[in-house]
Amino acid sequence: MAVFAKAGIVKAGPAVCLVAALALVSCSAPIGKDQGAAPKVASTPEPANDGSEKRLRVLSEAQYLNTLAHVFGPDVKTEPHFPPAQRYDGLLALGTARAGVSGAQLELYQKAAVTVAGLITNRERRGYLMTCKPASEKAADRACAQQFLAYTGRLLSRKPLPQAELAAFVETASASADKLQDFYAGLAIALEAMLVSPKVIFVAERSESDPQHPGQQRLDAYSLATRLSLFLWNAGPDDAVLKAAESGEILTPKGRARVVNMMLASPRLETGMRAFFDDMFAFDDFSTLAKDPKIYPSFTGVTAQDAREETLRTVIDHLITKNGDYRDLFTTRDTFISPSLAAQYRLPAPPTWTPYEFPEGAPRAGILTQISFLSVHSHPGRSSPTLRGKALREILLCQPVPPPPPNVDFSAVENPNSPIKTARERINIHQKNPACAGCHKIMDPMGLALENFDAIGRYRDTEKGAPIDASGSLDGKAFKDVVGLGQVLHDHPALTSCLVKRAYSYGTGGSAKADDKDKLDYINARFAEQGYKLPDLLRTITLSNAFSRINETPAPAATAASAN
Amino acid sequence: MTGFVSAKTWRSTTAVIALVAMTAGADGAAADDAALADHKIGYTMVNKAVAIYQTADGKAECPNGLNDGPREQFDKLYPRDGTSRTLLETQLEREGEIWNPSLEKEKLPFYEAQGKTAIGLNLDGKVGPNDYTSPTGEKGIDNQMYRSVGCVASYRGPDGSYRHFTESYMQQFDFNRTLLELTDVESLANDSDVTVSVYRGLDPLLLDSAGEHIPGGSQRADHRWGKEFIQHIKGKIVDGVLTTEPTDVFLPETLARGVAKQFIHAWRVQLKLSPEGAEGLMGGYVDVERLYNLLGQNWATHFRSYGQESLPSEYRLFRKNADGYPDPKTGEMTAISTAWEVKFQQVFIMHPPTSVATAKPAKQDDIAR
Repeated sequence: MAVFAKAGIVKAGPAVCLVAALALVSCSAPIGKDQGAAPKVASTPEPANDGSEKRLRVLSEAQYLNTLAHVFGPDVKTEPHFPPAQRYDGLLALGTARAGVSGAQLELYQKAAVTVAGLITNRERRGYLMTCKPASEKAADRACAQQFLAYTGRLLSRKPLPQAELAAFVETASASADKLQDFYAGLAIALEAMLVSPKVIFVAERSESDPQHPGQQRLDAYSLATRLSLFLWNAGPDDAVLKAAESGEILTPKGRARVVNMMLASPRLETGMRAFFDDMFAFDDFSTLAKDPKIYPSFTGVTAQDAREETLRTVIDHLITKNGDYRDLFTTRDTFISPSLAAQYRLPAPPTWTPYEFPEGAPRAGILTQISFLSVHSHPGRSSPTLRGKALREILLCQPVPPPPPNVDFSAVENPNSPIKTARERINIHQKNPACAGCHKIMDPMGLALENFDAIGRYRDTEKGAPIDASGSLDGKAFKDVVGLGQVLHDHPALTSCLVKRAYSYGTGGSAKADDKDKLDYINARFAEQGYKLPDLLRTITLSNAFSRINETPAPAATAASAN
Repeated sequence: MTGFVSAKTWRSTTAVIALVAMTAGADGAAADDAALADHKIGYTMVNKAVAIYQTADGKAECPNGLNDGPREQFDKLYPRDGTSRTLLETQLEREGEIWNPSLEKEKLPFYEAQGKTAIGLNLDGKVGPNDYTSPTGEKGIDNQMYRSVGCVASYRGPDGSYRHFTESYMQQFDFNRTLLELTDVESLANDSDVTVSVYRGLDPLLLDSAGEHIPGGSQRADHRWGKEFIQHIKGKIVDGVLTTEPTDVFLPETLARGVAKQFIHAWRVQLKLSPEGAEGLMGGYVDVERLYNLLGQNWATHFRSYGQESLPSEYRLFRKNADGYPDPKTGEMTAISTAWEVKFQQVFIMHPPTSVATAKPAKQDDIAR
């Protein structure tokens, strides 16, 4: 069960076991009772805990690009097309700690590095991106190269470069400049080498003894700065965060609080949280989303792209701009629409993104009723209560649903000439087969509530002429339509505990384990006390010992050492 | 907040539509109700082509074949027979003719479309000797444009050069956005009194995954720079067909350069309506001099060469076949009856919250501006 990638360190411990256990749980068990238990109310201090593990992660493409944009400006762009990570325990981010780097992938890093180095040193940009000017453009200038590479290297590798490494980069720049008789060409070669160096591409966390808690380990200042920054900004730390690490301020409770508050107040938080929710909602599925153009000609690539954007805008607006209650995301009538989406919603829309409030009484309320969720969890040619119910369980409630048994006979539900008209009638077939019924009964009642929306999220109240019954239930709570589902979901304890679990896992870079329960209970309780506000949740997590303390256990042979 | 209307205003103006759309029944019904919310429906033009009646092999209307274009005429006028000719006597002379068209007798044959059948509308309400009969048997069809260009490849379907580029530029350039907004509509099937407003739109056309036009898009009416295109006209719907009173209009029509609008006297439409779109004819009298100027400025000779379209030759026929709007001094007709086959898709038309634009008749005087 353990996965030890060449570059990654992940223990086969309880984290994986917990995932396995949840995945194998019987569908007949009352999901939601133990996994979705209401967090204990606790305004008490964080319980004693051993924190999380040290991670070795590879930077995602977005983190790489965001970091470049922050260091050099948004116009220093490349399209590296790094391979996506594999999703673990609901998050792609966890896959970055299990990823190896192949030779082909290294080529992609190098191609990106060549492009970026060229962009930074070209005539248009060097004037404002360089921190110094060489004495001559046709020869080496060690002092200037050193100044620029030290400045850049600190930001790209998220800590100051050791003197020996910096000297090596300067030597590369100088020797190349002399040979090519071009200072900037030489510098570009050194910069290219820096951009493909393991210290840039990999995040290798380091720990140290915690003087305040003898016998315990904590992330060192730079590792803490990087963990915070990747979590909150989806990019490396900036100069201010690194300065707090350099001074040691970030290791003090007061200093760390100042840094976290600064990061939460930054516009980069929006980028970071877009990345988190895009990951949590599995919106990478949009990159392969396609609908049958004969059935749904109006659903284009732009529609899919805008659908994803609509939900992310709603999330950021509600949770960050308005500092709203996370649960209200599932009942809010506020959204944003584009011309492409307006055509699906049958609304007028100006040419740009526009805030919109669905009227009272409309069947659109909450992000479940947005085109994103409805279209991405449907078949290319028809809606799917099962896929939607499964997604709702797994993505929003963190309740894994086992895959169907291998010998399922789908002929009855996939017969195109079936006299059966509605999805509810089709799905009832499952209920008659005990092998199917166990799982379907935990997915379908929720998915059927969304049947008023077809496979591209357009509203309908009949299917093949038969009226649609959108009533259902979720873990014993009945509702009559999708608006009712949103309200039941709003009040479901697993909704918020799932966000807490995902956010903690995402921030610390690893799956939550069974013995993380106390930590999660504490974070859940704080989240509830503070009205389910995302910034407060992020503050609770990032200021917790669970976030910064390191559970030092012997690592397997292939460890972070390879990146050091 | 957007640059066009405030979010608050926009929300309130769309709330009714949204509610109807969201609470309506099946997709088709919902589209119908949504499109007709508040007794309004909007359409945007997506196709326009001069109405050309074509038989299968073209021999009935063009027994002499299609007319020569610039290249063919040049070869015939200046054969490669060893004669020494200057640039002035050849290329420059032909180019000069485009900008100084003549009514002198054509040196080369240039054929009118033959026959008594044409697509179009009875613009003057009469049945005259030069009028056509429509393919469905309606008498008195006025379409002398067809007589003039019916045998010019550029205008013929399915892929004549002028047809192709008119459609292509309608998609490419948001300037070429003609909107019709029907208000006071009780039913798309029958309504004896509706108002049809013409606007220029500002936004791209909505396309499906195959690049085809689809209904349901949004268009902002241009009340700022598009005032000259705005008209409010009376119309009626009978058995699902909208007809309008004749009115002088400008319609936006830029073809990448030159003149950006077309002036049409006594313009009217005859459109079969549906919640998703409208299709049919529009007709009117096109001022010959203005049309010639538009074609000359907007179409480079290479475009006309693709479509075998000789502008100086067409000019002679436009003037000869002009059948409306006599010059008060000379009595010579200045405008030519024309019909276009047109297609519209349903759109939601949005107006600025404080529109100050008012209807203003398009006048010939405006051409000079």
